[in-house]
Amino acid sequence: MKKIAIGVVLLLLLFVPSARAESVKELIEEPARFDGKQVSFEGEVIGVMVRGDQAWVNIFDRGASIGVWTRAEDAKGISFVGDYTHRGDIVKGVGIYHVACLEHGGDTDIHASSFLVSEKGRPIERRPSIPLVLLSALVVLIAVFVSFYLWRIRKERKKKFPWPFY
Amino acid sequence: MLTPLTRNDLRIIGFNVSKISHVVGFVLFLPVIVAVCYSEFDNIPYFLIGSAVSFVLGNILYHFLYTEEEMELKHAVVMAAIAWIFAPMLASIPIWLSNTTASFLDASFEGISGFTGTGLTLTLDLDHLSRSINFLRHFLQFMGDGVGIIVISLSILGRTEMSSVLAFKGEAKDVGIRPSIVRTSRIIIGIGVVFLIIGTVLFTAAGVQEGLDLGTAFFDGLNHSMTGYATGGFSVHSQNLLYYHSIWIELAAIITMIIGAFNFNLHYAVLGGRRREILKNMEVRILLFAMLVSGFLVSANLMSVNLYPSAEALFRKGVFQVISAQTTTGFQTVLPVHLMQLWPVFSIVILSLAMLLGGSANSTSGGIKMLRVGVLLKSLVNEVKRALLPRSAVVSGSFHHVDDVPLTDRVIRGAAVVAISYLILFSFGTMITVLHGYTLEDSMFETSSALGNVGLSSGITSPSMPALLKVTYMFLMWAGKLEVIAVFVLIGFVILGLRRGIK
Repeated sequence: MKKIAIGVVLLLLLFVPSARAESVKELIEEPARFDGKQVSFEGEVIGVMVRGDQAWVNIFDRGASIGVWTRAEDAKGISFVGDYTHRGDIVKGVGIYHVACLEHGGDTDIHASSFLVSEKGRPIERRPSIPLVLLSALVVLIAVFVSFYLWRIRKERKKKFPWPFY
Repeated sequence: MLTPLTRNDLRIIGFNVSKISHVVGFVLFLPVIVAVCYSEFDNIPYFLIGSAVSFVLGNILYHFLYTEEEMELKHAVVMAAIAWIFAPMLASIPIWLSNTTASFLDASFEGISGFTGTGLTLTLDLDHLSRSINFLRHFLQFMGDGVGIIVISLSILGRTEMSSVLAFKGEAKDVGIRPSIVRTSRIIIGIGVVFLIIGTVLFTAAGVQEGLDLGTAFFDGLNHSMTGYATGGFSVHSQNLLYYHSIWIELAAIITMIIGAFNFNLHYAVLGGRRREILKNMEVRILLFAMLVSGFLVSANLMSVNLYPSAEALFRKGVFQVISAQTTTGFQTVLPVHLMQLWPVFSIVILSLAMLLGGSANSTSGGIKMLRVGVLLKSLVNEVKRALLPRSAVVSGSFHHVDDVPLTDRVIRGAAVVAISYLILFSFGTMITVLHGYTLEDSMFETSSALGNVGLSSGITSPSMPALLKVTYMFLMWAGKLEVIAVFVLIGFVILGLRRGIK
């Protein structure tokens, strides 16, 4: 039964035109238009904090991010949180947008009524750039050589001529 | 009569800049450890290149400009002015190489914002930044603004007391905690490390309590503790502290910000057992009074427009932003666009004023500083008294700042010159911003933030803002950190060299 309900919500989110997800940037930049209204959201998970039965899921969408207040159970379905080495799960849902939430000390947030993981994230392989590795090795070698060479010259000159002549 | 510049003057300045270069080399190497810990091996070349370039430049300057002559005050001030450009430029190398900013100009902006403890950022995707680059950004604020990189350079690498004493003056940290300057600098570093540990513990505990895993809570806590104490304001998230939706994290931030905004002398006096100093110190009284009044006015104003629905919200948004502005930290719990779109103009003006006035002198705060504000207010009261009393009456005054200090004309003149210089630069920055098509209140807000080394943003500071505006804000951050006077000394130094040549 639960699976059917989730499936129906997912279908609604995907195919009903009015359920098109507002971008997080739109929500943030047009507070008067969306405050207190039901909105659709979609974004990459960049943070999860479970608080009792509920959880904060921070999502990132096209250069802006926002906190979504949802059930802890929903957050448990998240596999990857986005950061430098991971692409986070993509989640979507519907909820009420608050510019200054009464329940959460005036925070800007979305209280989700439905929440789904629509795409699983994955680890991102970050390989060092070979030219940059070679360049760094070269620069370090030059630094060591120059430092040693100048130190030797200073030492020799100091022996021959005391300051200020060297 | 001004004496012409000599080659020796340039040699002394260059030689001391070489020491800064060495310390920057060390600062840029440290994130390599973070990169190894978090398996971000692809980031290591960025730091190695930045660090090696700094060491090479430092060694070349050290070798060719070696001198055993002592710095004079003019050398120290000019050296500080140059160092605050030189060090951020070196620090921008790894930031630029990591492609986390759109251009080298943006990376330099980030470097200056880091070293000066400002906190305005042009980073492209903060939420996906590597931990090592993020650590570097925060560490720059701690080293640059938290403990003072010039003082560290000269106190550790310098040979004599004199050069370090002058360096304190040049870096706008005219501290006289102990007779021995090496001991003083150790105390400043010690105070910084103690508060860094306390702040990290507070942030980490709050993070774990609010549902973060221990590793993330510690990493975020360490970084926010560094920037909180340095009153820098960089954050590891694009939402800044709003990311956590937590009053506990915000309370930890308030504690670190206020500690950072207090005078080093006060920390030393209190840690040495003179606890009553907190209540007696004129600067602390004015700072707390200013925060109280601004907090009340902003809360009342926000309540009148019914923006925040509860007392908790007024505290976590209104009062928090006032403390962040007054201590010149720049932590935000309100999104910049909402600050400018939804907050009434009156509250924005109060925040701008708080950023311009700043925290304590000889602290990690920026702005005109409360000590100067106190001196100017006292002198105003004296002038009123003078007008009312008979001509034969003698009006004198003093104020308590660790010791009782007489209110002399020299003290008043010094405070007035710095305050006027700030106001001139504030007008200049506001005009340049307005000319780019921004509203007056947005322009005033962003200019005070850059000049006061704060970091709160109205949203103007972004990678897409005009290059001239980026350069203007870089100049304001630099001039604000040097308390303006050093900039004029540097200009005078250059003019003197051009007009009379170098002997």
